Amino acid sequence: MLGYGLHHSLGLQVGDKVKLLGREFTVHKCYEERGSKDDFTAWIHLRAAQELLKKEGMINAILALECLCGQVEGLLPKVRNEIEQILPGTQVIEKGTKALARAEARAQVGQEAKAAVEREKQHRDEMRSERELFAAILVPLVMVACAMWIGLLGFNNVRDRKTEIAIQRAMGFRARQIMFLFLSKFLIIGLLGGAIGIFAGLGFGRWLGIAMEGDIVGIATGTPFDPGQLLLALITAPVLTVISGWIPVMIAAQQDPAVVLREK
Amino acid sequence: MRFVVLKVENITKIYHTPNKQVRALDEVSLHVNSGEFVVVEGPSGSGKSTLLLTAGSLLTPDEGQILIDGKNPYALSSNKRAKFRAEKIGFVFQQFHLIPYLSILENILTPSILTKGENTHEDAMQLIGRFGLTERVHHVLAELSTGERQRTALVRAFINSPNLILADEPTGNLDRENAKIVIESLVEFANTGGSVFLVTHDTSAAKYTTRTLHLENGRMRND
Repeated sequence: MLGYGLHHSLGLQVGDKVKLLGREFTVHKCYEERGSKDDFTAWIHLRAAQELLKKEGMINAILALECLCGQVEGLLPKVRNEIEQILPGTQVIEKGTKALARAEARAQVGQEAKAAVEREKQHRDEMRSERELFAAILVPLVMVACAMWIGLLGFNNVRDRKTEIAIQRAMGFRARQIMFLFLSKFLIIGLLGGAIGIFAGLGFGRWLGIAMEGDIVGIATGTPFDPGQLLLALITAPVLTVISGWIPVMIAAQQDPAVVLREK
Repeated sequence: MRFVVLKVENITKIYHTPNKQVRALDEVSLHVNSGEFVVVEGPSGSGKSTLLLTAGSLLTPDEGQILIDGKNPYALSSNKRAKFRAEKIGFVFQQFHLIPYLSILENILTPSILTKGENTHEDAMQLIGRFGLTERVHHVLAELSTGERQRTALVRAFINSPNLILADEPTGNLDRENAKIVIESLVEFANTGGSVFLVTHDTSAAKYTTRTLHLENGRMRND
């Protein structure tokens, strides 16, 4: 069997006779051009080659060409088994090409990268779940604490303004009007507090994100401003403030002005 | 022609404490006509403030009745009584009881929110001018002298054009000059048809008044 370069340059065809190292051979096959060293290779029977080279009985290797044993799972053991039956005791090794090695390496790196991305995603999901759980407990607690604090401030405020309320009642203000006056104030304070709170919270979050260099997933410097959050804060904060202030204001508005004025 | 603006008929007021009962007013009767300036004098603890608060429809008597312009305010519902008070009565207190964070003008206009009177702002500015407070109109309480505070309280009492002014020791915290301004303003109010009912322990107010009554231990000495 002759490579393209040999049969083409010598003008040989299948069936032609050719002499190699003094021994005549018949051309059995002419290969097409491959663009490799195979084009200048002649293949003969192993036994004949050993005789020509005076190395009878010395087999050093069998090169299995175009075998993709390593890429097809389970094929290499099958090849080994077949060769063992023909040539017992033969060691079969896989000789991969560099390109194949690179391809395999790339595939392996790709798989590892994919696994790493999956792990990171899972980690993020776990952290998100933890944060959501934390927020689900913390946010109501903070809101209750804030409501109690506002209520306490409300009590102090109306206690300090007991005389003022009494004099307004004496002038003819009804309890409902007094409540309206105070709750309007609470409403405005709540609105301002909500607006200031959302911007302060975002600012603090960004600062924390920068300070911790992204250690806290999600509190990144690129956290976008969400108008929905502002709207939610502008609704929740005044409602919470009015609800918290309702009881102290109601008590203050219902107080007997005569008692307060007599005390004074 | 004079008519009765305030009529107090046999009122008794008892305060209940855990250990005892205090008879602050004991069958007190009096009346104040339109154009009259009536002073009730008496020592501390004699029941003066209780009488004023009861007359002002702020403290329900245990017995007897109060009539203001012929109406018993205690027969009205709480809301109607508040409206009645806003329209008929102006209060002046020794401690002024102004709202500290409001300006003079805002304090004065506060009662007018209730009556929604027309030209209130112009009326207020006119009264402010009469009491020499024009330059202080936008000042808050902390920036005023004691006399200015009481004059502001007076203007606030006048703003709704009440029939009756109830004043509790209005000159108690004032120097002689400011006390004179306050008393003369009340006299002028009475001279223009209004009624003034003032309680005090200061006997010097008596010289300006139409009548002076004496209260001791919750009872009237004479009427």
